[in-house]
Amino acid sequence: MILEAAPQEPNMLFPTFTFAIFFLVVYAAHVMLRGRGTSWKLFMVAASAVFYGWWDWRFLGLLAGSILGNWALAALLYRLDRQRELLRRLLSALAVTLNLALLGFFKYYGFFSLAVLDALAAEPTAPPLPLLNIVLPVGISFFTFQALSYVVDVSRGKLEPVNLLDVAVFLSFFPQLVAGPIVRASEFLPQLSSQSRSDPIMSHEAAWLIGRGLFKKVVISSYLAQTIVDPVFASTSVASRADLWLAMYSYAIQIYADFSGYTDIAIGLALLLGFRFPQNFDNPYRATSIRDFWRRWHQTLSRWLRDYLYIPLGGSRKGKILTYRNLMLTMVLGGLWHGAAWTFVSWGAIHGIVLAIERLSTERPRRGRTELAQSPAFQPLRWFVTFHIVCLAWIFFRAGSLNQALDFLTGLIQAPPTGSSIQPSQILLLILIIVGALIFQLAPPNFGERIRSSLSRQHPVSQGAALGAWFALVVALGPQGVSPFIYFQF
Amino acid sequence: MRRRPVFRRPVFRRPVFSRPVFRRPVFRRPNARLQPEGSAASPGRTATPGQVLISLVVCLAVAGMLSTARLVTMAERQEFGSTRENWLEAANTLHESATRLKLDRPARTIENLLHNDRATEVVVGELADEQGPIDKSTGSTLIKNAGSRPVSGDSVADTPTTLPATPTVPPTIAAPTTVPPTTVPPTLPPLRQVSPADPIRIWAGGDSLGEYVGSRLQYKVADHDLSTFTLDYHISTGIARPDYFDWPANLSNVMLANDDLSTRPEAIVYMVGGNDDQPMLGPDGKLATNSTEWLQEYRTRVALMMDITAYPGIRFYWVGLPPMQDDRRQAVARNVNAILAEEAALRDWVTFVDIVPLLLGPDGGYQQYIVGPDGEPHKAREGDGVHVTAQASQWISTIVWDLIRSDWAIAAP
Repeated sequence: MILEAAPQEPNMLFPTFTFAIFFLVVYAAHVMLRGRGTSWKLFMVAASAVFYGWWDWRFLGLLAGSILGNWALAALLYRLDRQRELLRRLLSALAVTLNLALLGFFKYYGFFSLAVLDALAAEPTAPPLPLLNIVLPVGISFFTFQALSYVVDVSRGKLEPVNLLDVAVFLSFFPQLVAGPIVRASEFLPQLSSQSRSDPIMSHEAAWLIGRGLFKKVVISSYLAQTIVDPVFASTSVASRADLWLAMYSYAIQIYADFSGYTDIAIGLALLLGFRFPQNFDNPYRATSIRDFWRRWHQTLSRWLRDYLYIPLGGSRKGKILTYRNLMLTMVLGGLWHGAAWTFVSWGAIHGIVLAIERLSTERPRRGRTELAQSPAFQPLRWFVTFHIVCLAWIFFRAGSLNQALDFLTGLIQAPPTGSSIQPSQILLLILIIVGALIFQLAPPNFGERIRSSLSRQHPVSQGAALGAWFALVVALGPQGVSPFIYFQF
Repeated sequence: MRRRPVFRRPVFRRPVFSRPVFRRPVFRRPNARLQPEGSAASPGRTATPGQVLISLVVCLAVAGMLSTARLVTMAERQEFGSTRENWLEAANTLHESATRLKLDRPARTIENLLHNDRATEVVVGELADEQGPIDKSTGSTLIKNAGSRPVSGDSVADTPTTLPATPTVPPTIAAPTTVPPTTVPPTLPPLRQVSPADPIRIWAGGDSLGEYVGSRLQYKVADHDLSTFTLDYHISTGIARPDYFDWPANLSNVMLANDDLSTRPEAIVYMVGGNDDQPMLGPDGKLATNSTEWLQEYRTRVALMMDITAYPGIRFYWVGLPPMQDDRRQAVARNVNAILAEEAALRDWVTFVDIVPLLLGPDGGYQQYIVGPDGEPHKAREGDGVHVTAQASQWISTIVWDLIRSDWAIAAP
């Protein structure tokens, strides 16, 4: 964890010395205040504010506004009795609208104002919506979705509202504030209220997660990004076919290593602070269908979209056509959640279309074909096809524009076959990393259990020493400086 | 009376097997959804928060002692000032101890295997003496002159050159300078004829801004069969902190990578400066950002970069900084652009590409959305108020490509 961001980079990234010191100080205070309800909560809110303000202090007001607004609306919703159902619904709709408006303004205003301008073919010098200079606050997509889950669950009667301080801890808790996992109020708040001084800590599990996450981010993700992904995506038009294929596979591994690495560290840190977060990944490149992929990739977002978008839209209960509409809408909006660009919309749409095709094939089963598709011998082919659909869709996710994505896809077939600018030794290492990462995905789920169980038998201090040696190895293997996590931009 | 027997349909009963049905034992993890990926429930040994705190301290101590070289590097890269000095002193003390105990060996071995840093030396071009000589007392490690460049096989390290004094340019820049992109004045000999058999060699470099523009330019030139292209960008770099990345040394390496002149880049497109709004270390110590001394030192470094490319048949296109949203950054950017314009004007082979007019809003200030050359509004700036979007990079690369085409007389495809 002794890495440094580039000069003038004020960000408090997990794999930095700044964060290590910050966490040590926070943990020391946590040890002293643990079990002292209000004091601990006040301190945690303050620590989270320092963490978030380190990125840009101006956004603290936004976070505070979201906390205050959602707390007040949830409390109001709960107080309205059942006989005033219409008012409850209106208030609930207002809460959702306000949260989405906040997200929409900061994240999508420019995107939609240009789309409106295009649609109306208006005079560019006098656009129907003024084109404003808006800075995207880090983590807004994550904390807004968490806030929505809180208000909606209270309005549905699934959750009792909590006091302002608890809402503040929930929405600002720094391990998951900027890039998830998207923890629901129903998962977090019970743990918050049951905090005590005597709760034992699964330190070996936290050490395993943090160590693994750092390796994924600092070594795997950074190496793939610097060696092939960034250079090839920066020069798609002149890259050779071999480089493009290699970059496509590398990006699939990079984004997994980057995001799941962050998640591992976030879950590990929360575990040390006495909280257990939901898992976010379950070997996604093991999937044998896109439906299966979405059960394994960014699970907290998938669950959120299912429970707060797909099902309220009607899910699969309102006829076939509406089911397909709901499916497409959910996936396209899921794509748009990642960023205000047509590339993300396309990425979501590709997944939506394939999901619809898969659903269609299961709705109209043909005996022979279904049996063949489910047979064990057919599974490798299903895996292969699924993995390549996912990889091809990632091109849209990574590309700077739709044109670049299409150029990339064309280049996969038409670019000159060879002429790589990458050294042969690097190519070999890249192939080893890609194959190795896939083997890890396809290996039995408890791969690594032996390391974890041997770690669990050690004294916590020995665990700390082992983790320290591991950090040093990660630092030595990784590049100088560390780039922000990919999902921070969402 | 005898009743007729009623026919009863035989009831088929499923045979009951005495053998017990085997059921696969189901292993249920407690609260499985909350288990992290690849994690099974392994209670193992638990710890108290106090023990965890001690183990965190041990962890950081072990990691620090095994990575002291990186700690020193990290301390060196802090902003210049007393905090940096204190950090540096502490890191150096730790590093000395670790070296004595040979604790730094594993990390050093790995780093030597993986990161082979090239020697840093700076060599200015042959035309530098004639066109833009300066005092090269910058943060770069070693400066030589290519006029006395040794032949292949000789060491260049033993022929340092003392260069004449700086040209008289006022160190303080008051007003923003908007110098329109210009072509190289006709004082230099004409450039060679470009053909598919002998294409023009373009090199584009810089920081993240340089990457944006360079990658767009690469697209542009790909439409022609008349060029080869190298993109050499380094994120978060600039010329203010050669301790982080030494651009003069890197550019010298690019220019002198091969004694065979047929591989040397001819059109150099360069863009940095977005990360340079920070103090620099001058010959006499720390220089406050945007101070007169800072601007003088920055000018020296700019001049050095330009002189490194001073070879016959080479053109250097230095793309200026865009308007910045933040006032402090904008103040620096304005002065940097003025320095670039003035230094470029002193050198025939250098063209300053001013992109400010392209990206200014209607009120003459920073603007995220710009009406582009196509008459349509586009998002031209990223949300950070510094970077340009792919669309604006496209516009900038068009300007640069038009300049290159004009200089080498390359016809439109």
